[in-house]
Amino acid sequence: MKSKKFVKLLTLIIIAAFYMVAADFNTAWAKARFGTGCQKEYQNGWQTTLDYTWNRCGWFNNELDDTDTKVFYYNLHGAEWWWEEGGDSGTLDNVNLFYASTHGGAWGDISVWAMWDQNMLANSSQMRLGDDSYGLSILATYSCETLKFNDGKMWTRMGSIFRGGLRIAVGSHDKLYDGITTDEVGEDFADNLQKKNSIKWSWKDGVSDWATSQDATVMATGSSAADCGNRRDTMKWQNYPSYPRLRDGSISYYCYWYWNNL
Amino acid sequence: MNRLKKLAALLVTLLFCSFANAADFQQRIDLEKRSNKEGIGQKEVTLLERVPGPGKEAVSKALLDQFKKAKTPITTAGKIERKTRRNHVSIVGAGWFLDVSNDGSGVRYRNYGYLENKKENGLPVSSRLSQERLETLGRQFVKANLSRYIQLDKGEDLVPSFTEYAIGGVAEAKEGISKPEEKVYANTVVFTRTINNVSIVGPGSKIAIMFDNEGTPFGFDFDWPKYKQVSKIQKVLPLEGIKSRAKKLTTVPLDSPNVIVKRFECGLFDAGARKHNRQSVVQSACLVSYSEKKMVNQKAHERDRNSGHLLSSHIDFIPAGEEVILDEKWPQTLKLLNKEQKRDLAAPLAGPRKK
Repeated sequence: MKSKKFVKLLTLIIIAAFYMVAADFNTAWAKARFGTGCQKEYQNGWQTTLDYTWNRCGWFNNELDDTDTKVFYYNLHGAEWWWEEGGDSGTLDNVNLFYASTHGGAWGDISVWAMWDQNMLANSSQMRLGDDSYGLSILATYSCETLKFNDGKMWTRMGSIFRGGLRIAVGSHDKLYDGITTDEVGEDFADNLQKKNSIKWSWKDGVSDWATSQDATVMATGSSAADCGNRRDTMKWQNYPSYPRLRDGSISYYCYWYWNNL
Repeated sequence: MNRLKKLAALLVTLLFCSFANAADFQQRIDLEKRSNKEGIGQKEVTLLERVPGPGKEAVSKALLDQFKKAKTPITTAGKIERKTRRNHVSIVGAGWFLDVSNDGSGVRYRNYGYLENKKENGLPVSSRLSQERLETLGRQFVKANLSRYIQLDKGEDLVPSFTEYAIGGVAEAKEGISKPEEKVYANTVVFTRTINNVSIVGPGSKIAIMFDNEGTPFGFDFDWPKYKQVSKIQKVLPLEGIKSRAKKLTTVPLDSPNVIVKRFECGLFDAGARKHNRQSVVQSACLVSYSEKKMVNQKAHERDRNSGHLLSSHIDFIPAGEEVILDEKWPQTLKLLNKEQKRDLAAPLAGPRKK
């Protein structure tokens, strides 16, 4: 009698475990969550209008939600708080991939992204991604400069963001252009992700058109130099959850990849 | 007064004086110089029509067959998945993919599976493949593999444009200044086309071939239509006329403070297989790409001169014909001809408000 009860209990545990694993698998691999935050024009013209932003972001959404779940698509009015720690659990950390298009800058110790509101910036030192809610894994920003590395201060600027467990960031070390030949870069990025290319090459092929000198950059972290290179080079939209999150002291290295006209 | 005029003219010239990259081949450097000095460099051009290619089905089938038994990394062997997209068909194999534009004149092939397996072959950046070697390798590849697609009519030339390198760096995650170790992993050469010495600017008429560090190709792109002459000549504005038009059409006035022009290249504008408007023509234009550094935090800038700014970068195509032909996909022609601009996709809503 006791053994029958034990078998029943064991069966229940196995079924429950199966459903839990399946649910996680489903969340992680089959249908991921993404969010988008973009801005075309700015309050009182404090920043130059990016004429092609709505198409860039709209087509990104249209492509990726063929296979995955679009959780939100917001403009950047008053958005600083939900980019930064304390406000990100319902937005950036509520999705697996966040795609943005706005102006950017790399300062001495921080990277910044322009919000709609005059003089409002999201500040990398106030951001920590990957540690709330679903936890962001991929940060993709079509913005100038924010992944600058040539002054040796890339980690100083981006470390705070990665310490939360973010897996990979894609953006630019210098310039990404706004124009009629670059309004499809979001759609192409999404398409390349769906083709099971690495996130690194998906970004590069997404932003590149050979008529525009785009400065694409990718950044990742690792427990060793080799681990970092491996994460940067092989992570895909289909397998990113299999790369353990690295947080705080478990990050020993950062690495990047860029394409340059030498 | 004359001095002032001269000074003003010099300033305008400097504003348009863009910087060539080290990666540019001499032909691109010459194009940049000629554009800055003369604009298109001719008083008139023959308008062209981009002849549609044989279609995505025919071209993808031909390429799949051509590389099926190849022993090189450019291979289409194995099981494939096929998906039709908005403007191209995509065929994905084991580690490789092939995209063909709807009309068949634009193709992208990559075998990243091959490249990523060869990562241990990263080289110091100084040992990257030279421009000369890349040009030679690129021409050889085109001749041996793509001659069916890359054809040149009378007066047309295939000219090298620039090189690009894929570089990886790694460093310890420590605050302060680090010195990453960098290696080069992939090398790309890009070609373009000239027609009677006039360059094609924009994404059309471009070929890119990607090589690993041993010079083995693993990817290529081409956007290479056949052009048909339209029985109409377009008179071209002189450089001053183009500059004056640019003042009205660029997103940011080029004489704004802190604007740096990166490229100014004049020729015939072809928006490429995906963007070209089949109802319009390939006509004269100048590509201008530039960036603007806007100071947004003066205090941060005073503490550190590398801080306090935002960078914005734009690329615009300025029609150069005296009479501009309408192209509904090209906002600058719409603006010049006082036509209504095409509408954007819907703008997003505001996000959550802070409580």
